[in-house]
Amino acid sequence: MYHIRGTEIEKQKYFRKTKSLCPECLQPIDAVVVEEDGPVSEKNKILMKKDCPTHGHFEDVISTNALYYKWTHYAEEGVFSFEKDGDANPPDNKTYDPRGCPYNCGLCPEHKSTCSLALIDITNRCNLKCNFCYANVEKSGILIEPSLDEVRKIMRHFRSKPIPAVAIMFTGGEPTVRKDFVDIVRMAKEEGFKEVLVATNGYGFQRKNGVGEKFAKDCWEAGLDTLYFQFDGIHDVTYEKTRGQKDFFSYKLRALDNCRKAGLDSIVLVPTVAKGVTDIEIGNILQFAMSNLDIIRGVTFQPVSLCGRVSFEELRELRFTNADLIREIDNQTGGVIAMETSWYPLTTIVEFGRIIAWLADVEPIEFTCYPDCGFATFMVLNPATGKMESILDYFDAVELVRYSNQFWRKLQAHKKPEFFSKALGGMGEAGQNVGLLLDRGLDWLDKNQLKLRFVAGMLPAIKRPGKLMEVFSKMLVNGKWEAVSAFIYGSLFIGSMHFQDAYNFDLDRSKRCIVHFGVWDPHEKKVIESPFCVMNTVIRGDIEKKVARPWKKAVEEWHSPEEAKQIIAENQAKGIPTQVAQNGGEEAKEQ
Amino acid sequence: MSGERKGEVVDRGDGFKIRKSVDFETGMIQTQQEALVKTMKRYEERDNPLEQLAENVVAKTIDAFLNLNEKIVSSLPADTRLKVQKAWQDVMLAF
Repeated sequence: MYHIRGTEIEKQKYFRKTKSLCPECLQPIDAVVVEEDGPVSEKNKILMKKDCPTHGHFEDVISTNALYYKWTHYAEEGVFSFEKDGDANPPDNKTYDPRGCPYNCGLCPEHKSTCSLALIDITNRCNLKCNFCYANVEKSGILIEPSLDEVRKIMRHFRSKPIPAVAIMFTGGEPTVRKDFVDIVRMAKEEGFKEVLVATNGYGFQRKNGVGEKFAKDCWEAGLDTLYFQFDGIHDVTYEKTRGQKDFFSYKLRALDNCRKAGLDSIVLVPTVAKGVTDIEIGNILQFAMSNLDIIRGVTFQPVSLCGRVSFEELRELRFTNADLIREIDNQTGGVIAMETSWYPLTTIVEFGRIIAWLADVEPIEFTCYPDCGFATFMVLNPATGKMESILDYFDAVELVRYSNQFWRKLQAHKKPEFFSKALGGMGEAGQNVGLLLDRGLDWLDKNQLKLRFVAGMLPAIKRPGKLMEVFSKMLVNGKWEAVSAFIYGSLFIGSMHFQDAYNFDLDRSKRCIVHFGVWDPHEKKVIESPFCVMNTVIRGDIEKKVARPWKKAVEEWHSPEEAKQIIAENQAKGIPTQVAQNGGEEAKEQ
Repeated sequence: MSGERKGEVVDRGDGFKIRKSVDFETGMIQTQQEALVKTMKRYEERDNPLEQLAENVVAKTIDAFLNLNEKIVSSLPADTRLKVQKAWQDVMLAF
């Protein structure tokens, strides 16, 4: 329930100034985010309005539910807020562009969050040709494929920061077309990433005659934790519209089944949601997830972002906001995952996560993104009734945020015990060592009493006990990544990640982005780190030109000298051959 | 692989079926519990037995505490409950 109902905030019109981009020339321009004209109503739209001195006026819909939007932007100083600054790493970029953010990206001092999920585009080759994809070799005519050495440099960039990235995702293109994909996964674990993910349409995993199953097993053994699995619905006709592929649902089922056989049992379904195309599949996708809970850990819906130029009318027709999504989920689940009671911004758990990490002395994973970026809920099984229920039946999330915020503020001011080190410090080296040892014991006691305080103080936020709370309290006590992972295995995550485009681009969002691309710049000999939406909206084109590889050289690497000579001769005039663009040439035989 | 289960579905007649409700009684209790047990086992195998024991003791204690708390709290009038909870949190935050 939005706890601002009945307050003055509900009655006030929403207004915020920000910076955006002109969708025509991509230059930074002022913008306002405002509630539409007329009397205050939760059904009002929240609009972004902006004017480019050269290209005129632009408007886009940011949310179709004003009350939900106001609630996610409401704050009580020091007690409650969904807008949270992260502990950002020191800036990488020393150059200065007078246009400011995002043109100083790479990253600049204005960035407010650290990177929680590092992304590496390991290829732009793909076996599919989706018309809305931003990274496709055949569309761009440029082959992008960092070498293993370059991939390692990018990983080390993210891991060597004062606050290192905990998770890494390989993206593309289709990452599994690379023959050395398993080696790349292994490398990520060697470099210390806790969670290794791949964004895939399932290509490597769906192959027949045991090839896909063996590939899944090899990936699992090398350390692949999770598939971020493109999944638009359960109808072939949906995939014809979104991916231009016929009979494609069986391809998806084959990939999932091979993962199941191989023991790769952490799969997140990722549907791209477009109005009138895939929005009617939302209920089907959730049902599919519920029916395959042994391997499916979550569903992350991605409302489509609009690459390229569209008219005002087309924009209104195609735009699908987070509010549209949660309304549609409510409709298609018969109200069980209800719009007003089930959803919270991803930032809800920031302080909670920091406390657990602080108490367990582990690296935190921080969701300090902007409240507009995404939202989430967990469904958990109640063994007593056999029903999947919202996790919010167990917790009062607002109370949890309030208490965690206050507890975290206290912890930040809390100092490690130094009693014995100080007392015995003057007794030479031996005395100092004994003092340190005794203080470590005090620290252990101190942390455990703080754990108990945290759990005990949370009692008012806990609505009811049960098996879930037992698993949850283990997570609190242990705090290690594996314990968090075990909690996630006992539930189904449902969330949304709405990436920006030039029409709804909001610098307040980009400055807090926690999902960062890393690209090795061979000219500058350094890694360029860029927030996801800045990379795709503003700088991808320029960077790709810098890092492009000659396709002929790649063909020579992947094929025997005779085959390479033939492929190059046949395609000299045409540019990148389809068999190279799609899978490197050889894998097609296995399909 | 099961793609179709219960829940109200409308066949639009153009190749699409739209789901009006999702079946939350999925009959997946056993499957999900098996997945959970498998994962917990995997995670416990990596862990120190002493830590496991401590975790189990704490988890059981917290569970018992929560059950007791629920009984006490639910027996209090709403305004008293809020006051008690606020005072309780203040004590827990006093460090």
